[in-house]
Amino acid sequence: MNRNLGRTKAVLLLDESGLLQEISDSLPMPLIEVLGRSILQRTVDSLRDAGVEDIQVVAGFEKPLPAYAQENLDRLEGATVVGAPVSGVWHKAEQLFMSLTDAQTSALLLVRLNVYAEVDWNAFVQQHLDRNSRVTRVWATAGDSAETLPLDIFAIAPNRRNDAAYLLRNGMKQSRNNLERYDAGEGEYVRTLRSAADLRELAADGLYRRSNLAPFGREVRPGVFVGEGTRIDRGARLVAPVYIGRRCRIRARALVTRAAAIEQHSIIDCGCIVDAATVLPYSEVGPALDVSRCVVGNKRLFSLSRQVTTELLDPKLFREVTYNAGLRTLAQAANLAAFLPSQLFRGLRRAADAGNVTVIDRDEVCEPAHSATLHSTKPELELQNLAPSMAVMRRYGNQ
Amino acid sequence: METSRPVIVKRVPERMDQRSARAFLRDIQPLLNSDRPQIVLDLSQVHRLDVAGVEVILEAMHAVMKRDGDLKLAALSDQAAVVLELTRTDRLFEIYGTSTDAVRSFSSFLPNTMRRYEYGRIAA
Repeated sequence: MNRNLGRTKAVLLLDESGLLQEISDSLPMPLIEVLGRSILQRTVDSLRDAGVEDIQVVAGFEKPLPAYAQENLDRLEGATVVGAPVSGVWHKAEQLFMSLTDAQTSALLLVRLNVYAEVDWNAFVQQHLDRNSRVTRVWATAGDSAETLPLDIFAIAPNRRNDAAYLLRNGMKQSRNNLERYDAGEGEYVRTLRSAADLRELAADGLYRRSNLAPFGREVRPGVFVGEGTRIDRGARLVAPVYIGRRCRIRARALVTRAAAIEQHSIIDCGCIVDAATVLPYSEVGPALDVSRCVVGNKRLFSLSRQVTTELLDPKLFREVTYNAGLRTLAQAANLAAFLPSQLFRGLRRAADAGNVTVIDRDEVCEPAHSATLHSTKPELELQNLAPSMAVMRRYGNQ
Repeated sequence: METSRPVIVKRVPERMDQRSARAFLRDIQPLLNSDRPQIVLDLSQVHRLDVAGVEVILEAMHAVMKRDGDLKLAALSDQAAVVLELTRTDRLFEIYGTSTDAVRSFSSFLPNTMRRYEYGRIAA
């Protein structure tokens, strides 16, 4: 730990520059969990690991946040959250800067959370101090781009109040003087937070260890990470590397593969495939669906291959899991109460149609959202000729 | 996450059609019936893989999963890779460049040795 960072303070700005527009107009990406922990919390953690103890977060949003995003803000560890009106985030940050700097402060970090950056804070601040700079800005190549770009991450000397004020009043787009430049090295991973594709890449890069974004869970098998309280049915298949968040449910015959990330309190129903996709918290994906190369949540699915957002209003395709724990328990009880009579009816019908109906799924009975699935009870279909283990193959018809 | 159980590497024959696929399945049946089997199928020699061959690989996966084991694929020939992609069964398996990497992956995750599929293209 660099002792200088003990006297370094940080102000993080959380505004509406990083909304996940494809999914919601009120979902800031820094408050979305990626592999179990929000970008905001990870940034705070990295600053604290570097020795920065005084961290303030200025947050201002026009619309109410989704419950899980609000929780990530309310329960932020290691930093103080300061609320501001959406138009007053910069002004509040300026006020904070003035109040935080004192004779003991060696440098103040200003970080706008429109990127995820694994900056070597020690090296950054050390260069700033060694060069006796007024303001130092981080430059880095972000994601797959070969171009080096300036990031909204600054180190400011505590006596440069006017420089800080000018920077903040101009939305970090202009500065009073020439800025010292810190070039992030190869090991300092940077990813912009502009789109659903960035969110997906973040998760994949973390799982493939191209970044230090560690999954927040237990590694139950090499490359398979599972959060606490999650239930995975025996017949489900998880192909590394994947992440399953806490208190999720992965049902029988589901397949989760290719760096898929399923965030907390989500349900993946029977026979569903989640392939190179991110399922946002509190999402229930319907049975026998193929969720590939997309980000899904908040009743919307953004397809990364088609670059299209689709609303999923049909509860057979997608449902939001209620945030309220009591209501969740009631809903599960109601499902069970509805399930038992339907099973009884199915059993009676099976007895009546003995010999005409083929039961394929013995693990769990699922109601497919659509008819073109393998779990068919019409023996005259060609599907019968396929091996029972080909549970995840599909008849795609004209595709 | 070391594993003390042996990892069996089995080379898949050149032709995996209806007849030879069934024979291959009979051949590996003792392995599939072991406790928590850890199996790597080496497909480097595969020149012909049809649906019957894919079925057998899936049956083997199914049998292994029932016994809390795992089955991984390694060294896919071009022909095998195409058929597995066509039938969309490649995403059911961890696929490695070599059998050695696949064996080592049972002990620790080796992302750099995996065959990755990202947004419609095969990554190295």
